[in-house]
Amino acid sequence: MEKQKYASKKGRERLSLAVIYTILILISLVWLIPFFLIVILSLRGEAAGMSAGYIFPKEWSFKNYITLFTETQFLRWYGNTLLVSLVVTIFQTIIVLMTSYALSRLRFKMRKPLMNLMLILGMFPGFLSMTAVYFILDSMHFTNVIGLILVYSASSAMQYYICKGFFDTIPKSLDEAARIDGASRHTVFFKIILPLAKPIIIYTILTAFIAPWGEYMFSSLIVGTGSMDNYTVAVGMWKWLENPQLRTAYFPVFCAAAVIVSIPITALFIWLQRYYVEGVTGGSVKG
Amino acid sequence: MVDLEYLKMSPWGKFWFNFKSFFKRLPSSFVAFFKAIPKKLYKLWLAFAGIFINIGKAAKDGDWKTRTSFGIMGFGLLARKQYLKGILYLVFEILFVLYMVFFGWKYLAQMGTLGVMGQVEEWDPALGAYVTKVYDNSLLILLYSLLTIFIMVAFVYMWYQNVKGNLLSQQFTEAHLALPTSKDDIKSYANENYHKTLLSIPLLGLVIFTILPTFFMIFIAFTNYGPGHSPTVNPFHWSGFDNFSSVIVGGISADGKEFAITFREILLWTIIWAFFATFTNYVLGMVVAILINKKGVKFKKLWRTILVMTIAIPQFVSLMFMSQLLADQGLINSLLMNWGWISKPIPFLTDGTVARITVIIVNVWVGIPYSMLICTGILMNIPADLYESARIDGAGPVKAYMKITLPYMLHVTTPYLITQFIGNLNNFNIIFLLTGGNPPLDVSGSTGGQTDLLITWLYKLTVSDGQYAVASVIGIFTFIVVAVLSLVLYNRSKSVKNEEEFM
Amino acid sequence: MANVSLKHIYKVYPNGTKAVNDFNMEIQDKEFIVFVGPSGCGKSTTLRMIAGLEDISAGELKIGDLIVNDMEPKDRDIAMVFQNYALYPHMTVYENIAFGLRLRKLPKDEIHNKVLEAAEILGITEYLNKKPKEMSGGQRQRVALGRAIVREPKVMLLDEPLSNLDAKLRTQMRAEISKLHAKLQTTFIYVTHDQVEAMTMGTRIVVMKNGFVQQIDTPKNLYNYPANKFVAGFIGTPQMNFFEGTLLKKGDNVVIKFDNSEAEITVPYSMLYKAKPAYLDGNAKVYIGLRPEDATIAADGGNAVIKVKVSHKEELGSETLIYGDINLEGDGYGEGSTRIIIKDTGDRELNGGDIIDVALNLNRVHLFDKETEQSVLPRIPEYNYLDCEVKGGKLKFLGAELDLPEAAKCGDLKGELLLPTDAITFNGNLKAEVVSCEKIGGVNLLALTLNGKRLYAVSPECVEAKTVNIGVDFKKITVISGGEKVIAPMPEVNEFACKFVKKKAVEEVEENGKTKKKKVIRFGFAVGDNFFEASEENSQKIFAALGIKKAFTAGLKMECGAYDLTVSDEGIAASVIETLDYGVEKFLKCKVGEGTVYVKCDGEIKGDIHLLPDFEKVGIVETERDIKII
Repeated sequence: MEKQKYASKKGRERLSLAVIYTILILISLVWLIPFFLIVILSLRGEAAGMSAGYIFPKEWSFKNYITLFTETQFLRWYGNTLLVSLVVTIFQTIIVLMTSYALSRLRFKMRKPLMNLMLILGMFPGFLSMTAVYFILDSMHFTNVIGLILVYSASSAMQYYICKGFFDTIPKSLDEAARIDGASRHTVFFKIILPLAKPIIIYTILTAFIAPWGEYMFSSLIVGTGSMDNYTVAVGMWKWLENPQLRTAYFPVFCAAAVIVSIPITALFIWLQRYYVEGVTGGSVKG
Repeated sequence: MVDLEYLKMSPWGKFWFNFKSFFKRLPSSFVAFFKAIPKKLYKLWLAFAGIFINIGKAAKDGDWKTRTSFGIMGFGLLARKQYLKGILYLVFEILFVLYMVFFGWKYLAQMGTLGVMGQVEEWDPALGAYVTKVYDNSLLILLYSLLTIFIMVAFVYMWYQNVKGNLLSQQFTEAHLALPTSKDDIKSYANENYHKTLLSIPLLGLVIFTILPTFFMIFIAFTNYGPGHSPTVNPFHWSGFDNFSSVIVGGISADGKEFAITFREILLWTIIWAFFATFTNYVLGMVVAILINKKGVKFKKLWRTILVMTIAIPQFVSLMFMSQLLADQGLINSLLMNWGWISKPIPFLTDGTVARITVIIVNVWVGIPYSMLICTGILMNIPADLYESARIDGAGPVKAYMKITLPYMLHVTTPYLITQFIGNLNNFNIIFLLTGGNPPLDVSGSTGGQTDLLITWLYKLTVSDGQYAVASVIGIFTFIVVAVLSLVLYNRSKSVKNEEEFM
Repeated sequence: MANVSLKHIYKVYPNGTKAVNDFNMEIQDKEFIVFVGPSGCGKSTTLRMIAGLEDISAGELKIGDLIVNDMEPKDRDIAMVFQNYALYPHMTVYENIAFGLRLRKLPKDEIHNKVLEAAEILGITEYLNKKPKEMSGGQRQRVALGRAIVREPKVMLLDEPLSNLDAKLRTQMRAEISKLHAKLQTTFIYVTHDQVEAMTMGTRIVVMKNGFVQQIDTPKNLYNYPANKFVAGFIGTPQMNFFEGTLLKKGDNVVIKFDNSEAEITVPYSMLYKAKPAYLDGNAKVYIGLRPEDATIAADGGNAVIKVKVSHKEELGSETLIYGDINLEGDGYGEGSTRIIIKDTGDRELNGGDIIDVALNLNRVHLFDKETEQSVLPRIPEYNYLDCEVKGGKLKFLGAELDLPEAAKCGDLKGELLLPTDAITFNGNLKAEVVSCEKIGGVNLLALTLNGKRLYAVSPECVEAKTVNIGVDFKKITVISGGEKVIAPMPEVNEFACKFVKKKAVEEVEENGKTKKKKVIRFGFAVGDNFFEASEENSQKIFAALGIKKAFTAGLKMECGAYDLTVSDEGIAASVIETLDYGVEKFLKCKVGEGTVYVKCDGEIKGDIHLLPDFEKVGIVETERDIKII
């Protein structure tokens, strides 16, 4: 009797596990199929649009990739985006770390008002102020990569939240011990806090690096109206599909570009996944 | 209501009670908010008066060195051998004067009119031809006069600091206290003034690229900058509250555009969208997290990695691909038609209601990996002994979930939920890249679409329609909506209140 | 290698709560001082103020000869060990220890040698290349100690360094820290909430509660002479037993009666000489304190035996704690006023409910006032409480007779004389016998007998002779008759409201042989319309305590004694109410503003006068926060 009950319990557990596995496999498929499709469609050799109702290409070929690199300015856009990403990553990381340390560890009169100000500024639709930023940049002839770098880096301070949350968890007594040991606040920042902040630095670098690749709104405004030489991948690839006439012709090339854009970032992301997860979960729990 | 009575209530009763008391309290919390204003104003007034008292004190108590620095900034400091500070003040003053004389005042003087003469064809005798000459550019006038005002405010602040600093320096000297030397001053920027060192660059960026433009936008809302007024050709002017009334009261504008009904429609949808987008993501993300974390499930890391990977792929790639996939002539429709399952395309993105459902579902697809991650982190943080004691008390998995997991998650993730909600109110990418806001609203003269959020409509108003002034009004309203909602939500959430340092 | 001096140290938070109140202490070089008290008593705050991690709200902190109030922690030449060790996780043990030395830019070789030496002392040489997280708690604490000692600081500060360790390790580390102290010959200040740590390690212990210092003394004195019930209960395990009760004097004996119980014991009055007679009337409630080790299970009855109902016991191996109740109806649980814990070393068969005889060690009974919780038997009594009689201008007490001076004249009466122990002078004509002379914390307490009756006096020096001539300082005595103060002592401190002000003046200054008129700035205290220039030192103290802006706006109070005021042509205006003639000395009672002020004078003066305070001796108190600045 007792044993039977035990057995049935075990059986039930097995069943529920089977259900869970099924769901998980389904979920994985739903999430992976679109990306799988992108890869497949990028390898399509024949000229047939989306409306051709089949998936696997009739003719496998790298034609679209060749077109991408020889007939479009994709490589230039890629370079632009990479440049923006790299420079923004450096600026943003530095600015976020400085702001977070100041707000987490230093006590000064304007500290709380500053935090509230940034909270309120975050509520304004950032895009709208971009009109003014555009005119500022335009008047300095910066409606190019430089302008984009400035726009992305300038408001980095407002991204301080997660990083500050991390700093808050480092015991204050470390700072105090260091100060008694003879360190100034500057030394504490460089010799104590920064070496301990590796996970959050990597998180900041990762998010800062990825953001420009997926961002469309600001980049379309700053560089989207000028020369095609200044496009980022997002703006350029959007232009391909924007025009219904071009759309069919460019769609396979779009897929190829998408693959080229995604692979390095995804690889980087999977490599540093641990830090991303730490940052996201740590930051959200602390609010 | 006594606590004991509350404890006796059923879960639904509790929920209903909280729900009611929330709305009952809402008016009073608003009243409290407005009641606090006079107090705040009084405090502000005190601070303001304090400034004048300090200046007066400096004028009265100050010796000739201090008084001279009213005009020549930093004079007293230089005279008392605080060279570094003194020189900095003096240089700042000189730069300010140069700026005002050679640049600032021109624009400031025109701020009232925003320019009278735009682009004019003029006979150039030297060339012997007509040339286009731009006189007044309203946009630059507004922008630079705002910049000048900012700089003037900064100057007044610095001047006040200068007066205070000089007086303090005098008092220190009189009291035979050691004045900090220039070396001390520099050193202090690595120590007690380190926040100034750290924050000056981030704040400068914030002022130039966020605060100044935000003010600019607010000012634009009071002009008639729109399709009829290009800043260079035909200067725009102050128009008071015209734009606000066209957004609130309505009517068809001169160029046949309609804003009021569109605004209301889009606002409503924006809030509905934000609610559903947040809610579905959160609940489903939690379900996925629980499934992956269930004891006995293998390859936890693999499942997680599959989902996390999708975060890495640039959003515009996946969303634009999705929009092509779901288009009327897209792959899904043509596949289904080929297989003979449907006879005409499903209007995933072209029918209003269907499109709204589509964007919410696609948002689930985009957002679940993220919310799954968050929930996983918290699930692993729930102390195991809570579950053990629940098991000993005889609670099954469902009960344990309802009594432990869910309350714990809600408690911990409230701030996250609020930020997500606010983020969704301004979620540009998903709507713009997926539907572009389409299909259009069924309102004559409207520029909005049925899936448009305030932010995407704003984008279209500026980038495609050139309706800058109206867009600014919409922007201000968006801010008000977001601010009010977040104020209410933040005040409600206890976990935020308990946070050591918030508001 | 320095002494630390804390004078009137306060910590006041912006919301007004006082974490530390008027902390005064002189810590000698090489002392091992322990701050002990329950959490929130201000002990850590005090330590952190010494370290420079918290601002000092008021008061003067000196390390060595330097006032360090506004010094950065790194410049104070101190080292600190934290409760959670606060080791830098990303550095190896070696780097942790060397960090401070590297910041001070010492040569590499020297750093290396010092680190090795410190590691040697603490036995952590083999861990030098490890990271803190690879080490156990005890080893980490050693590293933390190493980091502190390597800099050879003047003062070592330790903030609950052992509370994260398990019990066994704690005992071991306790001994090691004591050893370290002996070896380093440095001043140690150690904060703990554990009284055992305090008792075993400290040369002197500071017991604190709610921001106030309760008692500063050696471990032994704390244990034997607790100043109040809190200290008595805090020191010693198991806790001292407290009972409520009353005292009644019967002839040469005093009966101690326990509330809610039949129990009573009789002690000789000589034990309670120092107690105020008011406690001995059988009505005043007192706490009777008795340590568990001072109660033993008695074989046979005696006068110090009470009956106890046993409730349960705790076997500790070497000894047994017997829980019982002196109320034979009580249950011995709970910390009620009738529970008793007895430390028994014998092996006895006892069951719950047994009634046993317990003998109390009468020499070790502690008595505390129920309201104030202060000891009824202070080590240095404030007053001698004596019966007296005034007849024909003569004061009679203890069979002696003295002429009352003019100022203390009164009609005939019988009453009580409160004779302060410091009001006994050694130049009178009463002959007293010296019974004993006890040196207690810097003063000498003389136990005298006058006509066979006990009298206590404090004296600056110990009196070796068998007899001594004594007199009475009449301005300090109080005579109470019929519930009224017939003769009141003269207040010792006069108070004046004042402000710190700046004054511009034009003075003639000699410069290069020429007389020049020059504008000068003077700082000083304004009392009424008077301006008293402040010394440079005092001005600096005011600026240091209040800041340069608040210094001129804060309300201050000037405190000075009757001897610190002189009658002069200028100064604070006062009108004489009367002249008080105490025989040897004369004083003026004057009215200044609303208040009354007493001034020493030579002859009789009437009418309006002016007073000059001696600024060497006056105290300045900030009224708003009640903080003593000078």
